[in-house]
Amino acid sequence: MFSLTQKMGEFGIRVQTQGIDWAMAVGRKDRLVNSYLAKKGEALEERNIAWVREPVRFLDPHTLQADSRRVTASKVIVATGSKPNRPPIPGVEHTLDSAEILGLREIPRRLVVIGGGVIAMEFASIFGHVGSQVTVLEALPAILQGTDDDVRNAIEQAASGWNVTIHTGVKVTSITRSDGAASVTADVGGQSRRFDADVVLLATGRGPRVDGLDIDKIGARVEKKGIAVNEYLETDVRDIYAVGDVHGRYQLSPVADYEGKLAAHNALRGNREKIDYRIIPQTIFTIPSASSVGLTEAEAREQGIDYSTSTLPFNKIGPAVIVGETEGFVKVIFDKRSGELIGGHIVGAESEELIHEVALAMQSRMTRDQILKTIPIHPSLSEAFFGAVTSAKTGHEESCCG
Amino acid sequence: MDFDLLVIGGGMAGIGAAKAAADLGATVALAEHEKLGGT
Repeated sequence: MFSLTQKMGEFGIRVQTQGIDWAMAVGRKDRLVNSYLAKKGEALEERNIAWVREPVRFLDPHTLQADSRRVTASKVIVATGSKPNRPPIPGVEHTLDSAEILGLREIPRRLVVIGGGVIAMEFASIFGHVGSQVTVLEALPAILQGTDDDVRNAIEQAASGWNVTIHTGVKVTSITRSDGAASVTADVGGQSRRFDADVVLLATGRGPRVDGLDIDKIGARVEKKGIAVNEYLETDVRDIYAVGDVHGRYQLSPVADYEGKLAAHNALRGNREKIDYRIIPQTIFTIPSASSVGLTEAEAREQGIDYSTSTLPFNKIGPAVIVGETEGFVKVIFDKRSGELIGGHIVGAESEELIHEVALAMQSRMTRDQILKTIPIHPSLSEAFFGAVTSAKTGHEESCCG
Repeated sequence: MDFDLLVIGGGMAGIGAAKAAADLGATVALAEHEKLGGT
């Protein structure tokens, strides 16, 4: 919203903002979250689901001990989620995690983010846009591992416009805090450097939340990423399933919901349905956002697929130019042999909406010509995908609709 | 057995599982000692 107010001048709309009341914005967020959570309890009551409001631990695969009682069940689904990783850095207690930083009542002047994954870049974007000076410290050689190279490059480039400085290949050695300010010491390219900050965000991934559950004692394997499960989401122990973040495959809430439902059916009706992760769109909620589904170009190459790509920049898409959203692109990847669409990557306004077109086309295993039999609305941002597919056909960067 | 299915955890995955199981007619319990809804 705040970024929008800063673009209004381009449209001849004179807007004067008096800055951001961060405490008010956080208050609104809290109200929305609380109202959402209240509905979850109602959904259980409506279905007569008994809510055991106590921690439980396994005594055997079918018996669990709560504080006040024992609970027995024919089948068990473990869905205890994840918690932020805490690497053994001296002074790690001076950092906030992604949930804690959302509770800040004011905008930090200087923010250091340890980690360079999706969560790290999303918070770098948020705080950079509202005026913090942000430094991202990533241990690996590049941020956003597993992301298509063009997407990563676009976000890196955009980040310099949000007051965000990115350092890669960094090893954080210690964090200290005195007089209300923190200081992060890190090895950057063989040199020790110090980064001062008001707030340090720790965003180095998440691991399974299994403390006190004793699931290892009944024979389930708990690996670093999470509880090991098979294609039916059953653990090594018969009748015991694990779903969502606790097995750590995708840390996305719609995937967790899908897995929960699938495991419930498999638990109660026998293992009939295998999990299918082929079509999972994902978004990095930076400004602009970046959304992907299917293979990255590097994955297509590594898998030995004979592929072609086509990329259409937003500044070649009429409706994007009209609404002043010229940053970004749509990139599509086709398998040359089958003609099928095998990947799509969108950086730019509303990418989190546009990516669903790509996802549905991939779900139906559509080819370039099949996709182009659908005539899109003009003017609409949704044209962008059709434009990229048209460009794949003609070899020229062009919008689909004149 | 007290229940056909016990779900441990009341986030997206757990609530999805518990609701789906109840809709199949199973007796279901959900263990969550903190807030429902997850992270």
